[in-house]
Amino acid sequence: MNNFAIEASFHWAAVALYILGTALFAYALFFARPGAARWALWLTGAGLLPHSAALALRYFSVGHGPYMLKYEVLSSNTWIAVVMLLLFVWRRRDWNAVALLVMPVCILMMGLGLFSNPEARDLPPTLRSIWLVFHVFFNKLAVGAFLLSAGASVALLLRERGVKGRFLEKLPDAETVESYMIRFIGFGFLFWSTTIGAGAIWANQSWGRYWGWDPIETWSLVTWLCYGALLHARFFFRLRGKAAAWGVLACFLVSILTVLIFPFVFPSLHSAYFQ
Amino acid sequence: MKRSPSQALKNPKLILGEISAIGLVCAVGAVLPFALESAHFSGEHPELVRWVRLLGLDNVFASAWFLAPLVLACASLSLVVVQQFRRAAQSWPRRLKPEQFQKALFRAEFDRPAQTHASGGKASSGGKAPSAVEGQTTSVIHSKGRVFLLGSPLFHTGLLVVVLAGVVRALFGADAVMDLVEGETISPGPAVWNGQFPGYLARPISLNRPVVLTKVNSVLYPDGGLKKLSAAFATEGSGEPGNIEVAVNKGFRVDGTRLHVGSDFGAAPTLGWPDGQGGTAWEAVLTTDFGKGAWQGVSSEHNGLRAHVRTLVDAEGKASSETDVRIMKGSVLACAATLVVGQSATLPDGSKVTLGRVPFWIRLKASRDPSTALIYAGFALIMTGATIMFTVVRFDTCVLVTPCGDHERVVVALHAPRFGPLCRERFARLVREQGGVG
Repeated sequence: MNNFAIEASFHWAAVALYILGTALFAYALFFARPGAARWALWLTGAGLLPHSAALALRYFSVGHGPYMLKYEVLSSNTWIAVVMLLLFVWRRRDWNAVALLVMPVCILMMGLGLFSNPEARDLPPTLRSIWLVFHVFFNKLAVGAFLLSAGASVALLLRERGVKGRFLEKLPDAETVESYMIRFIGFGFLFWSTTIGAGAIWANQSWGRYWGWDPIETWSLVTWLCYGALLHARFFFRLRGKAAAWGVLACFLVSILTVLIFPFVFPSLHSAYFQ
Repeated sequence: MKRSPSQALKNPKLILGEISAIGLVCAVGAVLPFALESAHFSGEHPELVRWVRLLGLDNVFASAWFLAPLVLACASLSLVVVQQFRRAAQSWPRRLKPEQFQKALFRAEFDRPAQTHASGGKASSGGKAPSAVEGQTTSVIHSKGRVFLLGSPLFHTGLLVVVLAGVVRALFGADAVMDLVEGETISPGPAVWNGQFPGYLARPISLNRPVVLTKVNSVLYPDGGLKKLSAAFATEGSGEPGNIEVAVNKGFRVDGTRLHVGSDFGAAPTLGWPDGQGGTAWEAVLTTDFGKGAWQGVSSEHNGLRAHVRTLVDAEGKASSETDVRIMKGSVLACAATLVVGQSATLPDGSKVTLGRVPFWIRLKASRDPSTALIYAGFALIMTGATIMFTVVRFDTCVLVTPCGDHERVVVALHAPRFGPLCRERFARLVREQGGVG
């Protein structure tokens, strides 16, 4: 078996474990089996092992981090999101419902990556910079944090709509859910700011300018402004409940467009990493 | 009630409007130029395209649509920053009084057995239970995370500094670009650069002394993709070191100007054309990567003729000894030959085109940026401010103990201006520490 076959096997093993973990989360929450939730957590965590092995193998075979191609980018984004989710749910067991909302998105993201072209691509010299590592790593952290906030906002909306279900009953009260939702956005905002800052420093190193109004650069600013506006609305006008949750989902949509969709649509310096 | 301009600028609704307006304009600026470039769009909606251009929306970042909300936002930001620092300075030393915990988010009252030890007076800090003296209420007020007060002012100051750096860059910064062939010299003076892009109040880029490109070093991947690229220069004159290397992501500063290279480079076969007076006019044909190690380029026109050249470059960045030359008159092939250095191809009129040396060329960029220190300071402030804002949770706790015979009445309260519900566990712990049920 060649390296890629082993890597693909690890990836698919991770997907299988994530699916099983999600199914167990669903079982635990819908049938009020708290013991199953613990197993779900372990099973999802176990999925990280083959996933990490696949990413490590990829690193050693291509000689660079997961910066190029949808295959690498989506797989590593999923890895970070799952790690963040598990760390949070491990500390806050009453938040298992968020795992049930976030894990399907992670599995979908991973699936999209695995069905795309995995052909290794060499790293051009402009991408050989420590600032690229910061830029990419913090972007992934930001996406993970925004995904968690979106999960919390969906849970909040379901509850506000009066959807009954055992899995929602386990969640803390609405005020606490909202506070965490905004806190995740705070972390995401911090990570996104770092992404923009590191990218600007790197751009200056490579092209002699911090900012060039490249479409993805500009959309990252738009995303940052959207979340900034949401935080201001929250702190100035006490934006709460449904309105806050919808605002979070709208901002999350903009961030996903910026990271995953627009690189395909607009010719950009950022397009290369994803095609 | 009439508001003063400064009050109006600090109005949260206006601030939110400014952020939204900038975001909207940025979104338009990121989308519209590409729509306008689309031939389909331009063909279908010529009237719309005319209006877009008329309103300056095709270059929105230099238009009033962008600059007006930005200026307004900076004015608001300046006032808000001053207000925030003032408020932080006032709040920093301020200690909450027990009465201010009446409406705290978390508050619990319970009785506990009287403590055996007793000491009078008010305690001021610490998580220990206050000691009570009969008939006197003692209080312990503890504040944590006061540094939170600095988060927002620092963050917003950083934003202002970044905008200021942008203005300094736009006014006093300068950029220039040139394609340089091995062996060529950058003479002092601005005219030698192919393109000059000075700021509104800046002088163009110009080096103070001649700088010679001595060598272009490239390493390619087996599939022909670029792996490493650098250029060696020699400076003439006194002072600075004689040899410098500029690589991708590794610029070099000469006379206050930063030189750097991107990924644009290639072989530059030099062709000698008959100049019509019995001499030879030499021209370096800049080739670019056409994949699989092949590099192609087209010369300028000489008596209606153009040369299409193609050469191979190996993984060590060395050009092949042979270069394919095809001389075209319009779309008609006039002659074709594979030449080695020194060989000539005969043109239809009997004159010859000679292949001289095959050096490499590189696109050299130069920038002069007086805003570097400002922009780094701005980033540092933004990151520090954002880190404080979103990682530090500020809260104040109050424990009041009133002796009542053989027991004590205890009031425990926790006040958190932001993210209050996240302090629930902390409050429960505090209640347990004081002998209550958390």
